[in-house]
Amino acid sequence: MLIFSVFKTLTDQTVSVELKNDLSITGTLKSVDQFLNIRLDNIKVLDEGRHPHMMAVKNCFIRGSVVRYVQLPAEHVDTQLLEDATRRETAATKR
Amino acid sequence: MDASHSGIQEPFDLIRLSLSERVFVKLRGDRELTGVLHAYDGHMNLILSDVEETIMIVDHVDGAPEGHATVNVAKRKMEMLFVRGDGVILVSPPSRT
Amino acid sequence: MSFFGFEQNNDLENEKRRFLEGGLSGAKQEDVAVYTWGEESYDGLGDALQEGGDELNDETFGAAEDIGKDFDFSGTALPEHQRAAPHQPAQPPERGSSQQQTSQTSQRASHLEPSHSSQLDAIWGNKSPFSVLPRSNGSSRTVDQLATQSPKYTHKPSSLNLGPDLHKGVHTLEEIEKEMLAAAAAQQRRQQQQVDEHSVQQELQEMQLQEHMLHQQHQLATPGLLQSPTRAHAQRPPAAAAAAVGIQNTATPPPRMHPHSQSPRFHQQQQQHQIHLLQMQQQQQQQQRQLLELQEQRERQQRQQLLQLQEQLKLEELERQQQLRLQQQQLQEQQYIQNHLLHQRGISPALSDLHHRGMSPAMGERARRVGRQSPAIMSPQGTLDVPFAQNMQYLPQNIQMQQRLLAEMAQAEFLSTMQGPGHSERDLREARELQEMLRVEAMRKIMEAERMEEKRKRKLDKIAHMSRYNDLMTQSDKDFITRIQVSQLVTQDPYADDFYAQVYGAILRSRMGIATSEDRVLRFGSGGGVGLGLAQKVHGRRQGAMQRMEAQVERIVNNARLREKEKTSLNNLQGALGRTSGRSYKAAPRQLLQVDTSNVSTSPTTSHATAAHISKADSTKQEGEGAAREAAKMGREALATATEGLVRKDPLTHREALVKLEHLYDLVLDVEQRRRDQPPLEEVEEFEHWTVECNAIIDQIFDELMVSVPLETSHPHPFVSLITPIKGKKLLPRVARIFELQRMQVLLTLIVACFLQLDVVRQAPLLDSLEETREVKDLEVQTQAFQNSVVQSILPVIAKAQMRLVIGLFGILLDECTVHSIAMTRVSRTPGIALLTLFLSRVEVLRHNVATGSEVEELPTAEEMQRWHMMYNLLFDMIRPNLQLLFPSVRLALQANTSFVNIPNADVIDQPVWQFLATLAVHANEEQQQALVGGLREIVLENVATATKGWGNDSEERRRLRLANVNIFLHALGLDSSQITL
Repeated sequence: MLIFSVFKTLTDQTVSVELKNDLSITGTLKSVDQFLNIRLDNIKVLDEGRHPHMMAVKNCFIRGSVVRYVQLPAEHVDTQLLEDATRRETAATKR
Repeated sequence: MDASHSGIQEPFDLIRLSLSERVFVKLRGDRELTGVLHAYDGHMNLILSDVEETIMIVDHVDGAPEGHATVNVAKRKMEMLFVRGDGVILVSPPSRT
Repeated sequence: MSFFGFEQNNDLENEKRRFLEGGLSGAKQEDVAVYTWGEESYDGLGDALQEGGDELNDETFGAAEDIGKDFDFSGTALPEHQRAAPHQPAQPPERGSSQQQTSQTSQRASHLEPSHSSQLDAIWGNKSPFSVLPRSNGSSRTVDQLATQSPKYTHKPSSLNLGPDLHKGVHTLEEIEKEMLAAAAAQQRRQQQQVDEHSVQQELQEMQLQEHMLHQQHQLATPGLLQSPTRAHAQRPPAAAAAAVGIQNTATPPPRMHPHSQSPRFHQQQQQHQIHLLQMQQQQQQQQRQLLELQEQRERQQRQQLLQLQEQLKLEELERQQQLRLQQQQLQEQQYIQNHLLHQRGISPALSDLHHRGMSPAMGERARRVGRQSPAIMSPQGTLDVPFAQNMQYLPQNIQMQQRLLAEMAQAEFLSTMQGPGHSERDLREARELQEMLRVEAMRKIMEAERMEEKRKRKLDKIAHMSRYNDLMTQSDKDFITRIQVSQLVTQDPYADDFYAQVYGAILRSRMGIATSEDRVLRFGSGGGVGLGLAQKVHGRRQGAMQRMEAQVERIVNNARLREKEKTSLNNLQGALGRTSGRSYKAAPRQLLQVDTSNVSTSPTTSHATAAHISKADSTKQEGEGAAREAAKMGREALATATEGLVRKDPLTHREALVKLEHLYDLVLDVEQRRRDQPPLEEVEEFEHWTVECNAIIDQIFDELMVSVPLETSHPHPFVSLITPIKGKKLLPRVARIFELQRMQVLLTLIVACFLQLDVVRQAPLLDSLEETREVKDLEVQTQAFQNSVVQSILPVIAKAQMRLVIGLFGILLDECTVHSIAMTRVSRTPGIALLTLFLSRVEVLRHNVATGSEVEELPTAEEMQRWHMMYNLLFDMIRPNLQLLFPSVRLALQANTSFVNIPNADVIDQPVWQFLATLAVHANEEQQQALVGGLREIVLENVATATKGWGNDSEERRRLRLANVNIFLHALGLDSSQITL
């Protein structure tokens, strides 16, 4: 829930999603769900030459399980708050 | 400090100690990360900042004798990174010298 | 519906008679012809078949046992008398072919005559019934459709089936054949007569009609040309429509659903849909009928033409005259038909209408005039329009307006042409201008209407397309899915589970100055709820959807909560289905290492064993010191007060510090949460309870920060160890918020006292290097954190400090530096310089207070002032020899053997030093100021020169900063950089 909560605050921000197949997609985060499935708009694929099939794709829905990394906009992440939230969550699950 | 007082009861409590500390993360696919840990959850999903990723690319040269594969190391830096937990092998504090 | 005064029902009567005579046995023997059902030319006769009465089949067909041979289509084994039977339905001839064959004969005659003369022969000669089947029944289809589709004629098939069969009984084939031939001959004779009569009649009528039907006669020089398109138009749409209706009938019910499981709304909608379909069917029937009429009309016209061709006399010349006009007429006629067809395809009638009118308003006008004169041409159009009255009503009004405008325009044009040159030039010009205006206006309106029409059409198309999926899911289905989704999100404490988004949103809102009234959490009853995250920018429909979702969630959530409870009480089910893990999906992976925590505290050795697993480095250090540590722990409270019984300890390890910090964070978070949940002051008891609890936790935090632990306990001091990790530094502002001033003063004192133990001070020399190693960067981050967190949190304490405290702290700081003989230069890259600056400026403020007489109770005594001057002189003497080296940029430049102005970021890292020197200068006496200026002259000049003359390739920003730095110092001396002449 914590990460979901974080992603919720990042909607309408630009993120880069790197998939496990090394495909890297940059786009505007439109929505996310509790499985961390991700919907991106206005996508741009890194190294388009290697993935010509992605050239015409303008938006996509990414299954959470195929994600390796998501690069987040650092200026929109409150790390202090993030740590607090993590502490709260670990405390909550322990209870 | 014994375990009960330190509050260490399960492995995740150890990761908690590293919150806002620099950690070393080993990932599937010959990848390693170092970065400052800001968040984690029960799936080992992580959020790290100031990340440096190291990718080991092992090139097996055809005809070369066994064990003579060359290892290329690719590095890159990322400001803020979410790492999906299913790729994480281990999280540890970086070895201090 | 008699357009030309012809006998209206003749055709129908004829058809009826034909059925009774020729088709009588055929109707009964349809069992083979039924296979035509898939054909385009299917006549619907099969539908009219009476299912009962099969017992007479034997009488009709002869012996029952021979029927099986009917299906021997090779025909060789078929007895002669049986072969005839299946061919009977083929008797009604195909009209198209008959017309080709008998173009000279009248239409009516062609119904039967050719079938006997040519086609029937061919049929007899043909061995396979299939050779006839596809073409059979074609001619009667239109009438049959009338029969099947309009209730008026429904009685017909029954009379067809029963009547003749009952009367006739058993006939031999010869008899039937004879009869048929006789009948055919008789009819032929009769029809010939009729034709003759008709031609006479026709002549008469022709004479009468011609007067007002000059424009009306749709005679065509080439009947085939006209025939083919119109026939196609007339026949295809009904078939297509019928097919469409069939498809819709079968396709509309959602494929999945059992009708009983449908929501009431679905049923309602389906009913509506069915009604709609019925209406559509009716429309289509109407259209078909109209098209039939059109066809008949056309046939009649053709007949007229045929007659005329026979006569050829009077009309020939007239025709030639009319030729041009007729062709126009024909064009218009076709356009009308096309328009109506376009209607069917959903294209606006008005548009196509306008389109063809727009081509030539004059022509349109003429067409209208013609229409007025002869209702015959208008009437089909009029009736044809009826089904589209529905369409018409949601046509934009301005289409009608356009029509009016166009009519006006046409009229104007007409008038102008009529009036001709008799009118004045001006009138004409005005008229023309008006006309032009009207035209422009009309064009604009047309374009607008076209756009709107297009839009409307697209929308309708889309709705129609999407409506296929309407109610595919019932409300309960949707609820079910929502319930699943929501149950994943519902938790006991939505604030905790959506903590990040909630707080982040609150921070964002407060930063943006938006009222924080909006709560982004849905709470339900006792505890459960859903975190909605950040408030999104929702507009219009989405907002509605959001509200609906919220309402829905509220409805569903009770169930979800119950489920959640079940989940938590899962242990009750232990053993019911094997082992259950009791932890939810959110939980960590199953714990494999079971550490029994209750045993640990009683036996220190096992605790070490487990600790060794976790951290080898720590455990080795702790080896053999268990007892001492236990003792230290036991006597901690005593230690806090009694410094006498000092127990020296090893400093906290990094990991220990982290563990303590995490616990501290737990406590701080707890307090912060409690402060958010502060009970109202009115509820005294509760409030007191809350206060006591909060204070207890705050006390615990203060204890665990180990601020009160004697300085000598360890080196570094435990508190210093605690604020070494970055999160320790970041904790300070938060505890500063919950600690009272006195505790903060203790904390400040401790920081000053342990100043040299601080990591940022100890490692400061690292920063005096140009290498960009990880350590340097980490230290920079740490220094930054110290500056932002620690210094910021003690700043208000210093700002309120009295002279005594400032002097004391200043003394401690200086003492440390002198005792440990640390060059003050080292301080300049640390927060120490900030501390010194803070102390100096606080003293300046206090001295100012003395001068103005404000803050009387805090006035420093003379003795304090004297001590202060002493200490200040001490400090000044310490830094005097190496004034230049205070600047980090100078030190870096010395290392790199270059000028300090070449050091990147020099101005940024030098800034605190300039600030410090400024405060130093404020306190300095005459001689000290001289020393300051003397010592710093070089640097000041160099800085001013590079800043003002623009030497080097510094950016504007950097030069401004540089000048500002110098001015901070110079202003303290009562000088300015502008006074310096180079």
